Amino acid sequence: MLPANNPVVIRLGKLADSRQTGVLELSGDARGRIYVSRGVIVRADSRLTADLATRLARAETSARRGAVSSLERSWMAREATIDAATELLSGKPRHARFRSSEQLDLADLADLPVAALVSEVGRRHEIIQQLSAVLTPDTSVARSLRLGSRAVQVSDIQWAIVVRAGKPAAPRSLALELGQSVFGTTVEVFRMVTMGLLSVVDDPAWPQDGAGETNRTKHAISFIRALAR
Amino acid sequence: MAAIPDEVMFAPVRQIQGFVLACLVDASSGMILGSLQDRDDIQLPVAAAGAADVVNVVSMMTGELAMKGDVEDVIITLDSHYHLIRLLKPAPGRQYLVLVTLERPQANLAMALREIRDFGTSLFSLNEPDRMA
Repeated sequence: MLPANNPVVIRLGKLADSRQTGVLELSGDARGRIYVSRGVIVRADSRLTADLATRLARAETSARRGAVSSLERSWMAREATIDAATELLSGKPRHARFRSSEQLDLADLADLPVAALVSEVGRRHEIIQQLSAVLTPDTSVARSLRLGSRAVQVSDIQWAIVVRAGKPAAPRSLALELGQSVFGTTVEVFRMVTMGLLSVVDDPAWPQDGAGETNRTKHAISFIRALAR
Repeated sequence: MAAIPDEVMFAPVRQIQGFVLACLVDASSGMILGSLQDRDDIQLPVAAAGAADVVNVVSMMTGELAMKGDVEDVIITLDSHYHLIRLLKPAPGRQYLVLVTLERPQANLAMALREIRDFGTSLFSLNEPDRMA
């Protein structure tokens, strides 16, 4: 759950109460924008997450009919917004400036009440906290050089990650390259570390000679534990 | 672009005998995308999170076993309820799960599974793509 004194949350609450329309611009490492229409959040962008256009373009490339259904487009708009908001509401100090406007020229709106967005971002922060014993979105990981004699079966997204992890890469950079959610990719990378497919790279001079051992972790992720009590 | 109301989206599964609740969850993030429940005494977020956790564990198991083949359904049988979880993969890299909870005395498990599978198949064709290939 997000702290009650999170300044961005407080600001969004006021915008919701007054049913404002406009753009809340946020500075800092995760600078970005939160678009509000009559007090409802319709979009959020952050320099640290893939924007909706990129996600849709990648999704349409992989879609069986070359297009994404409007149902999935609405979900992807919501995910892009929440993914960005997870960075913007991280509690790090930042300046915020709201520019009011008559209307917003946006398509594929997320239509998220502020309370719903804050609740979901809080849940994700709880999960990120669970993962933090092993990795964060900016932790370098690399493909485990040896799996021994065993075989594993991977999903298509895990395959897409593992083929890109020959050299150290962070979940964030993998997500941006794949046009996927930074949060979802971080969770997936954590699972792959658990399975021994990836290892956290502590040493910048990660061995290139095939001598590295798998680095499985005993930590586990639980969505139930992340629910606010 | 207007979102589809949950009552409309889940109309096919709401007709399943013994229906208690249904929800659609993003399998990667655990985020609830839509939900419908006939009883207020059940904590739907807990059910959704639990379903996502179950799918995660089962997927890890099948991954480690490497016996080829993807998870399709997970059926949890309790004294009084069924929890039926169906995985939906409309395209590579995108995976969702639908959880349907039924009152066991009223439910026909085979019929329910069939209807949930049909729901999953039709879900992404309910809405025409914005442009054709």
